[in-house]
Amino acid sequence: MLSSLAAGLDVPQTLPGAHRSLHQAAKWYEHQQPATSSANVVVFAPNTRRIEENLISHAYSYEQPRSNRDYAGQLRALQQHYTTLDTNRSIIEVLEEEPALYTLLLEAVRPLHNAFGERRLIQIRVQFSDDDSLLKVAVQLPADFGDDPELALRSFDRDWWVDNCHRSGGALVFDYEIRDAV
Amino acid sequence: MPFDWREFLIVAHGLRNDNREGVQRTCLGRTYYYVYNLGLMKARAINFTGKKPGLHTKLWDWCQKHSDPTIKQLGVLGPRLYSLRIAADYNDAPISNLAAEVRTQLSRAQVFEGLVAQSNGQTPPPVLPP
Repeated sequence: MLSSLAAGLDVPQTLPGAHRSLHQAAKWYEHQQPATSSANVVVFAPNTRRIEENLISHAYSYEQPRSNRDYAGQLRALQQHYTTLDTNRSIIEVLEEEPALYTLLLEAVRPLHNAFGERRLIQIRVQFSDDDSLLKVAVQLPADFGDDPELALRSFDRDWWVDNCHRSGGALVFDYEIRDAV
Repeated sequence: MPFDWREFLIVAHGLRNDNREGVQRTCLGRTYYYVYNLGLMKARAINFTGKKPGLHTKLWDWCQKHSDPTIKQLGVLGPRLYSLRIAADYNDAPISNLAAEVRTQLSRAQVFEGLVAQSNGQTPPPVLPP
């Protein structure tokens, strides 16, 4: 199975670097699955894990440190689309707590712009209560925003969020904020 | 006679035009707690068994995962009200456009109670004036 996989990827088995790259991609993929993933993925993940174990046990004769998920990298990727209002540490803690949020946030960028318009400033902040915490995404709208923002929010819900909210662990909120209103 | 949580909504609605920040923040909080308790009763009546701590998040997460579109819609609305309640009760940072946020909170609460009534096969409560 290993050789056929490597052949399928056009990766010579003798190159450890290629094995290592495959291992990392598989781990990322396993953790990024939405709850609605099809049965195909459920079948794929265990196979991947077996291949991964084989690669680790056969390709490396020394102790290979297992890298954790790159939360700092995730944060940098999110900051290309969102303005973060909290310390990086606070955001990363939420991403650690709810790993699905990273993918959700990336996927949400397009639907948010579709609903509220392009080039809107979108802020992220962590909100803490005594009980729990929320990650709030707030699209910043001008006071003279033409359309009813509730209608825009409802279109975001209808087009994307209702179909994906089950992946958030209840820890993600999308809303808008009107700026500079009298 | 059990307490009618809608009294929180009535109180908040009655205070909505009082410009004092403490009153406006109270409106946000009371309105949320009406919605929270209404949602919690609805969920418990089905099969929600969540317990503290983190019961707010557990409730909305449960709603969001529900197969019934109306319950799922409650799970979309609830966290938005919860978010404003946290801002009102836990953060001393100014809340931008506070009066508008109170109006939105009241309006969303009435959408929420309408959905619960619809789910229960009941007539929605009377709409409060804007």
